[in-house]
Amino acid sequence: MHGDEEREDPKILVVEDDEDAREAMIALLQMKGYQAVPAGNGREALDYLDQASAPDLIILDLWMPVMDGWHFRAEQIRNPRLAHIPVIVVTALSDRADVDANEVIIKPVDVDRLLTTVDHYCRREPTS
Amino acid sequence: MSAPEDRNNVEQREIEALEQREANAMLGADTSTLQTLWADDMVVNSTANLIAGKKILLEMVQNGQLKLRIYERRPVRISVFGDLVVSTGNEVSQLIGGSIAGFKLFTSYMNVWTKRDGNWQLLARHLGLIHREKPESVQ
Repeated sequence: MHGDEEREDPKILVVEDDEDAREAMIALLQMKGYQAVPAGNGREALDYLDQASAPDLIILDLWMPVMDGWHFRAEQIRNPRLAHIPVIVVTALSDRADVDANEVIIKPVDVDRLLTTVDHYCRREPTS
Repeated sequence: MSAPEDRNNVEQREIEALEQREANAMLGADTSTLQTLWADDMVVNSTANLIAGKKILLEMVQNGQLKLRIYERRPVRISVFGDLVVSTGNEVSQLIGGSIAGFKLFTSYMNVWTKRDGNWQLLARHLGLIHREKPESVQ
């Protein structure tokens, strides 16, 4: 028996203040077999990461109340326990230069591109 | 021979009926009707700022991710451009399930229909949020 058979589905933290966008991404990721955890801003995301096991990937919006995506990312990089987690930024900003992330996807988000990128970072073959 | 305005009126009525048929199919999660009415290369931009195609949307309807309690569509203007028709109007919808279940969404929409092999199909759709009404339980 391979250990992989007992491995849980990859976990993705979705940090997005817009409820429609967050819920739609959560539903989409769950439908594709991921565990998807919501957070409404950077502060909520850090609180979650402080208490839970590290996710395989973070999807991060930039413009959010309480703590925005830039501040969250800075805090994440400062924390050795969290710094290695890959981040996909989703933003309406067209200037990608000031965003420190593994990938930047411009809003509106192309679902096919998002899922391909998520599959890549979670090291899964794309689901049909 | 009929005048162009008359032909446009016929097409407007035809699209209006198809708009209602498509909305009813969404409400009833009738994927076989949606399969016929949606073009294979359909593109939809939702209020969630997600661009999705036919395949993933059919999957979401089939899996109950887009299960609706209410779905009403009211076309305001239907413009005919030969084999392309642009329908613009507003919609009221309410999802079942998920954290935004119970919220009533009031949206504007623009649907683009195209005639292929003699049949009209929905080719593109864009939604904009007008208002989101909280359910009474969370007001």
